Amino acid sequence: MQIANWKKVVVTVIIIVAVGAVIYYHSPNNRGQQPAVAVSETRVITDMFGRQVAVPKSINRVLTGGPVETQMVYLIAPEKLSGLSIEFDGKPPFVNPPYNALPYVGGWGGTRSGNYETFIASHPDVIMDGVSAGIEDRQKKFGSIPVVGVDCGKDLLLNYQPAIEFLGRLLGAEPQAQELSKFYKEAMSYVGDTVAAIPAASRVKVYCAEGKNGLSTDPKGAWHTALLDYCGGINVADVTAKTGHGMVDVSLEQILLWDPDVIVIGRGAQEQLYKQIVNDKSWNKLRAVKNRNIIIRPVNPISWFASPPGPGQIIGMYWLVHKLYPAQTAQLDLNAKIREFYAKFLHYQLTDNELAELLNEQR
Amino acid sequence: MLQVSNAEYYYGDKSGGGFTGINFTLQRGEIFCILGPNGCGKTTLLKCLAGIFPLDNGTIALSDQTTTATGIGAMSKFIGYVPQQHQPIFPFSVFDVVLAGRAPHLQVWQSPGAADREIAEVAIESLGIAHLQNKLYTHISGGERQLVIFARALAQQPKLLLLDEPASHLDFGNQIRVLHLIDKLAADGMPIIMTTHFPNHAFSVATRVALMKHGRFLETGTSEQVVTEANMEKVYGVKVRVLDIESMDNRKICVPLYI
Amino acid sequence: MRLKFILLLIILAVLFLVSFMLGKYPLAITDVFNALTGHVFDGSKQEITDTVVFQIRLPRIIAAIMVGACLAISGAVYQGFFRNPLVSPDILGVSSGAGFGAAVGILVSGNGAFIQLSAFVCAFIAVAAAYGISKVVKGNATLALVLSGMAIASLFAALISLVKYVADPIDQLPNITYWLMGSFAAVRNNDLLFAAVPMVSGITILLLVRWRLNVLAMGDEEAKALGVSTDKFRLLIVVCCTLITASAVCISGIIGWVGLIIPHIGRSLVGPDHKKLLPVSGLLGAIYLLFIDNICRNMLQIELPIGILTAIIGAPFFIFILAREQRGWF
Repeated sequence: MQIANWKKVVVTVIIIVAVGAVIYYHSPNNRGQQPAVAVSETRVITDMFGRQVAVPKSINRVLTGGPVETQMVYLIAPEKLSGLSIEFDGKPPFVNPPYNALPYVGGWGGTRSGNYETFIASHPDVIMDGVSAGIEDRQKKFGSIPVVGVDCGKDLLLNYQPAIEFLGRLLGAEPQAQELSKFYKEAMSYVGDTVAAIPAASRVKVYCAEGKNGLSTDPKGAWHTALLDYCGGINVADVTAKTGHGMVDVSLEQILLWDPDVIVIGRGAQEQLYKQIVNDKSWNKLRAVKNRNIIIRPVNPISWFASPPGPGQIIGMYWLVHKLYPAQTAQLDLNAKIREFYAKFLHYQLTDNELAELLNEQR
Repeated sequence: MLQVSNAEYYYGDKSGGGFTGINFTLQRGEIFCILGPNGCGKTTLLKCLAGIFPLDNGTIALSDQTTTATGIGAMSKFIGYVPQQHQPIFPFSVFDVVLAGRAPHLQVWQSPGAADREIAEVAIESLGIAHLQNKLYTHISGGERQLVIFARALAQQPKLLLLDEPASHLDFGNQIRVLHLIDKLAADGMPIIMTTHFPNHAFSVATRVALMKHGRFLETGTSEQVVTEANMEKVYGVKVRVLDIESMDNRKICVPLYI
Repeated sequence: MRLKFILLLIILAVLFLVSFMLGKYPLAITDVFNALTGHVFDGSKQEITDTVVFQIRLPRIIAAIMVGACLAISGAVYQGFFRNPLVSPDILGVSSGAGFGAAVGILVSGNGAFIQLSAFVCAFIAVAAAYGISKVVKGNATLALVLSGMAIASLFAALISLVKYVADPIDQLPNITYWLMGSFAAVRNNDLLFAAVPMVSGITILLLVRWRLNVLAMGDEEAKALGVSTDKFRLLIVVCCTLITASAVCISGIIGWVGLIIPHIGRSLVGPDHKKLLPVSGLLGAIYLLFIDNICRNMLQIELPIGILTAIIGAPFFIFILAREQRGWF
């Protein structure tokens, strides 16, 4: 009399398994026929993760998996970008048409918001992927659209060179890549030499104020303060030995003890945080605030400093070293460098007003 | 039929609730009534007999000609337990609750079939609560729930019934009907252990009575021997009179003196 | 009951087919149908249709159904088992255990299969620890289990934070964070094959013993007196629920709410009898997650996080059901 229950369950399970088997049987891997790939129009390259990938000989539409890859392609071959994995920042972002109309498609580097079908529907020739973990799984989801690994390096600031060269070759934009490479190398060596000439005793102490009230900071050695380290600033927040991500919370008392020479205000509500800091009695006890040595990180259209770190740091280097050591960089024509970088690599001619706005100098 | 020797159980250390040194045997058709004040250990004793708590010391042996069972799972086939109060959480139907009594007779993967449903229906009939059958267990009164749980114990078709104050939540009519049912079940050979707060219930149904205080049996015997004016004052601390009602076959009745 | 069950089955079947038609890549219904039935058609179009249908839509549709059914069933079982309608499938720390396992897996290897295995194993370790601790507590076994589960869950939650703290911020940290948020976007066909074995066996066993759960749900002492609440049976329930919840968490990450609210909706449809409640909850869970996931992948150009949507859509619906319910829950 109780057999019915037992039978019902078993029959249900068998039906479910059978349906699964039928679908699996019909899936393409079991059809015994492979889609024909037009070999003549592709070439096989080795991507930056060492994978062999067949890519079209001429690549005209590119999508990316993360912010850094988007920004790199924008600098080197903007006309090939068919969507953004990070939106252009700042108001206004200083982006000319048609690039200001590029759709935001997300990705899987920073936020995990990329929709595979959105990517495929945009018919890209290649997809640039900066994350090696799981790249083969994503390749499967994209089918015949090649996923190309682009490694922008972990210590981003010091490691753009290979990615710039690789993208130049892959996208057929060698001249532009060489220009960028030259600008990058010059910036690296100028800043490197300048900082090397500054004795340790005269290095400035810097506090990076972040978060809503300025009491969060990227501690010394953090990924997000690589630019500061390279430009010879001493991050006062030497609070954890840990490398990597993660802002830490500090108290105002602690900052008073550190008494930094300069405060760098993080991206986000910069304007408001600036006002809050200069109007606050306690903050005003700080030397940096009294002397108004407070600098705001430019972000339009891409971040110069961090959050996320990216090729904007190439111009950010000149800017930060000049802000920290104006005397030692008196010869540097910062404005000219900025105009050059924007004109050549961000495809935008800055007016005087826009330049002032970019640098938050209008106040 | 049932033999309990040197049974002992305490919730925590010996100062907490529990019982010790309990010995008794029970034969077919006997109604063993345990009287005692609140907190004397009656309910705990029943729970141990029902297999809910394991004994700290002593043994419970149940024999039915061929079977001797001591494990919880095996005991449950033989022992029907009607707890004093039952707090339902999910709104099961009354019928489903009674049907649960069939669990000891089914394998783990089985659910009740037509025969089990019939047994449950008969149990419901015998308590006269057929009208409650499709109601939700959460929506009926405490007394009705007690009857439902009694029906569930009957659906279990046990060899021994444990009733924890079976009449405590019942109205006057239902009290009498339940006592009558207990009497009838015993007459058919079912051994029954019940706790009660009413000495008069002991007079009406018990074949044997135990007086319990501080976790021990003070005295065991027939109701006439145990339910005496002296004993009642000793355990409950109230003065009573035990009277014969001549007009009713010399039935005994216990009446408090103060009110 | 039968009618409601068949109705839900039809809804699920229709939703299943409709889900194949939905997506950001525009596909003709006929092409989807041809791909699903294995017809061969025009080359390059077939290639892309196959990719979209079999690599992107199929795995997540199946995953949503499987995960939804598992979470809802284990939620329903646990609510009865613990006699508490506020219990969810991760009451014994299975989710935080799995989360910790996945985080460690991401830390030591990027391999997807390894991450899942590590999540699965740690989920079991967490539950086994909770169960083991509850055994040394004298008194109410159910309460002891809940309390030790809570302790283990917060222990593993702390361990997750620790792993996140030492994780590499570029490669590993976002992986851990998004794994914990839950998503069907990255589910692979192979994941489903591996997860199907524990899921199907766990659900089959739970369905077979489901009537006994009624007795367990009625009361602890009663269940003991009726011989149902034996250590063996309780262990069987915990193992099966852990099996299916852990498999679900392994392929989709942590998705909240489903296991908590679906059993309530199930109870409002067919009452608390587990004979009806378990199959109905399974179907409801599958329908619910499939529906939500369709929104996640279709509403915007980008993916929406499913964990957020399950709560945003689930919470008001849940309140509506509670307010409408005449029967009462407690």
